[in-house]
Amino acid sequence: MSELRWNPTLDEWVVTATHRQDRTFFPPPDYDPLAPTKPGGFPTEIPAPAYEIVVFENKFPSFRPEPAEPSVQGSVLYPVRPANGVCEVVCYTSAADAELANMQPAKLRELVRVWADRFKALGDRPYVDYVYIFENKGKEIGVTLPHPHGQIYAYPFVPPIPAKEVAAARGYAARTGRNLYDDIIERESNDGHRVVWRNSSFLCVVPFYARYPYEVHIIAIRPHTSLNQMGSVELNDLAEALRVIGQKYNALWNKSLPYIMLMHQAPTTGANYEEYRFHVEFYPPYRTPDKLKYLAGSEAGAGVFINDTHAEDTAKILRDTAPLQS
Amino acid sequence: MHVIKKSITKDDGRALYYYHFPATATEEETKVFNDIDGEVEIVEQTEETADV
Repeated sequence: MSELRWNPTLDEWVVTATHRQDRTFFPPPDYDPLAPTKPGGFPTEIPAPAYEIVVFENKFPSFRPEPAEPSVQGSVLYPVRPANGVCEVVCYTSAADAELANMQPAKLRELVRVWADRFKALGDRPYVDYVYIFENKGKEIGVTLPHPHGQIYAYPFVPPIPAKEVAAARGYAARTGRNLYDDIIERESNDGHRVVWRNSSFLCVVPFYARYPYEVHIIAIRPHTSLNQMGSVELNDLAEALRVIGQKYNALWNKSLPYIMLMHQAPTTGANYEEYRFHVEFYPPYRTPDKLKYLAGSEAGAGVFINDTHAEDTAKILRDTAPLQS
Repeated sequence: MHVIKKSITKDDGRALYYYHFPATATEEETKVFNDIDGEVEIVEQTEETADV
């Protein structure tokens, strides 16, 4: 089962989830567990013959609303905690061959509403400090179910990377009196070399500090820290930006490009995070059409990413790539 | 946008949420959603044209 073990050498939690070794691994197409349950067919995760968008608690969760007690006794050196939280699966559509980039615009706008509702519903729970919405796409990323879906982890703590981003934004505000993300948007808009696309609510860039060759960030232009602060126009603009970036990725090498897509939003601890900014990050694992970017010694052991490209070059390539509409 | 949610508890105790969008749902999707026995919540009800 799951438990949190504290790493005192890095001051961070590690989740052990031994039951996940048994999770479903590339089932045959006729046994898609994320498909609707058809009359007379095998029972899937969704006990209905049709659906639009469905969210359910993961069968193999790393966190549970009512977790078991840890399997080991904690100590001052090695604290342990129950893995109290929620892991949800978001089925984007009942169509097994869809993906974000080729969903109808109206359907993608609906998915953004579902993400916003899940952010609020999970963030309101007293034991949840951070709601993390993400999608792993493609077998290169480790996806075990090809049906189009994403995941949501509701953590009982603020994870290290969002915590570091929040601290950086607060530090920048303290030093300069300005908002870090306003300055990034202004700099990128004026410069233009790293801009991939934009609409009235979001700026899409390969960041100056990109760690992956074709990494793209979709940054809210207005000072919203989460989906819940956005109005209808902005939620629709986010759907449009996600679709355009997904289509540009697929057009890049004329194949469905794998990626990790994630949303960084303000923690749900109840504190003020006005220095922070909602943004989406995409990490495609390929650096050329047939070469993967591996997280090797420097990245995995030292936390220092080596990027084989300049953001200005990959941004131009993506900017000049027409979205592949399928 | 008009968004409705129905919550159910699966046989093994896990929560499941069906989201329904009347403006774009097919006839079958609407019927299936209406037939689901679950707790209903209006998530959003704002005026907006659902141009596909």
